[in-house]
Formats: sequence, structure tokens, C-alpha cells
Amino acid sequence: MKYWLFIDGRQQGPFSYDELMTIPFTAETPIWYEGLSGWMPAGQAPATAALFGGMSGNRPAGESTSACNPGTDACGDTATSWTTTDTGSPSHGTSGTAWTGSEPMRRTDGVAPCPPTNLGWAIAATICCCIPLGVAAIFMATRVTSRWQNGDYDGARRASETTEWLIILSIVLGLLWAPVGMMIGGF
Amino acid sequence: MTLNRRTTITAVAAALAVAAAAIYYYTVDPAEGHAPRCMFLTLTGYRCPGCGMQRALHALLHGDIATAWSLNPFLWFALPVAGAYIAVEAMPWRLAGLRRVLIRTSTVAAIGLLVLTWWIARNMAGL
Repeated sequence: MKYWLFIDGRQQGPFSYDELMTIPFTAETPIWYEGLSGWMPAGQAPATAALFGGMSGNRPAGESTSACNPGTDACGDTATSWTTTDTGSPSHGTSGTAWTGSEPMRRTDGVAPCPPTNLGWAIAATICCCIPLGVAAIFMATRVTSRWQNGDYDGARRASETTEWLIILSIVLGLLWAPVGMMIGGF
Repeated sequence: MTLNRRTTITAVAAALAVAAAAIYYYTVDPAEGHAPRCMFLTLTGYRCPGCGMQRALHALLHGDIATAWSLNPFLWFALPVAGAYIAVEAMPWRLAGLRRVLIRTSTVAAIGLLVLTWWIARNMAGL
């Protein structure tokens, strides 16, 4: 099994479990490994929760699912609430910058993942389906990232869904056009 | 590390579509018909950003890179960029550095502007 950590603003890994044990990280450090649906604080991930002395048990149940997708880390500079320092020790967790002893892992819900821009499909739809709808999808892709960078995670997600629908609509229209275009193009 | 179900289905469908297109456009020369005419060109008389792609694909599959380039040089930029976005968003745990660059609003906006610029320029310059 390989593990990835999000430290100092970037994703690091893969590490073996033994390597992982040599790296200073806190209960708040996002971790991801195969089997997790997304990044989660190391204090909550089953493979590492035990290192932090059952602190995950202190979390309200409603918050315990605040995992973010793999790639959240790479979403940009706003991932600052997932911070740690290289002087931290997993067993104490007191030196992480986001850590306060009285409120364990209170900031783990800080950053939501950047939803897919779908820009690749938008470009493909623009080129292959030959309709301005693809350009609308490209425009909406800029909304996904700009909203996400402004912390409007819900708006970013909605924009992401809009790009998806514009692309699907482009493809459907393109497919509907194909037989018509064939007749005009000549068999 | 494993792709989710939806991504897998999309990847398989896309691979099949590409393979089918490769076989079709290898066999058929779109310059002589046998291929759908661009919707935008037909309806407006102006070329879309992708016009020439079918002929370019035919030329490319026959090793004629010069012709493929002349039919639509923009494809050589747009398709790799599209591929990069699709790959990075399908596998968010890989290529973190590339992903960081690609999901900047400035990057997305620049790519959008390039598409628009190419679209307008090719119609003005007759490319």
C-alpha cells in the first residue's frame, strides 16, 4: 500500500508505511491511500487514526465525513487551512499551525476540492461538434476555477455541473447533426 | 489509485470512439465526401475552430503531417491541452504539479481566449 500526504502546500508521496512513519505529520495533515474515497485528516483515516490516540473520536459525527477528493491539495493556494509544520510529531500534534489543543482538528473542513473544470471535454466538444455551445462550456470552466479560488465552493460545483451539461448537449447535437451533415457532405 | 466507475466508462467509450474514428478516417477521405460537413460552416458560412479536422485526421493517418498541419494547425495545440485536462481531472491523485497550473483561472481563461482568437483569425485570414 502506498500513502500520500499533503504537506507544505503540496502533495507528497508515494510512501510506504515504513517511510510514512519517518515523516512528521499531524492529525490534521491530509492523507490519501487506496481505499479512501478522498483526502482526509490523518487523525480520521483508518490506517493512521490510531497514531493519534483516538482523537477522531472527539469529533462531532456530522463532521467526520469532511473528506475532500484526491487532488484537493493541488487545487491551489487556498489550501492553506490544511497546514502542518515539519517539526510536528504525529504523537503530539501540537506544532501544526492549524492545531489548537482545545479544539482538535477544528479546521479540517476548510477547503473543498476544486471540482472538475471539464475544460478538456469542452475543447473536444467545441472542435468535434462545431458549435458555439462548446465555447459556452469553456467560459463556464473559467467560472469553476474563479469561484473555487474565491472560496465559493458550492458555486464552483454548480459551474462544473453546468459545463458538464453543456458538453453533453454539444455531443448530442453533434450526433444529431451527423446524419444531416453526411447528406450535405456527400456519401 | 483506481479510476472510479464513471471515469472508467467514459474512458472506454472515448477509446472506442477514437478507435472507430481512426479506422473510418483511415479508410475514407473526407475531402471526397463520406463525412459529415461541419454544422457551423453549413449554417453560418464561417469555419468553426475544428474545421479541417476530419481531413487532417485522414492525412495524419496516412503519414502526411504537412497536410494535416496545414488543414488545421490549432489542433496540435488544442488536442494535447484537452488531453491534459481530461487526464488530470480523471486522475486527480497524479500529476499534481500540472494540475495546479491547469486549474488556475488565468490558464483556463488564456486557453479560452486562444480558442476564440483562432476562431476569429482563421475566418478573417482564410486559414
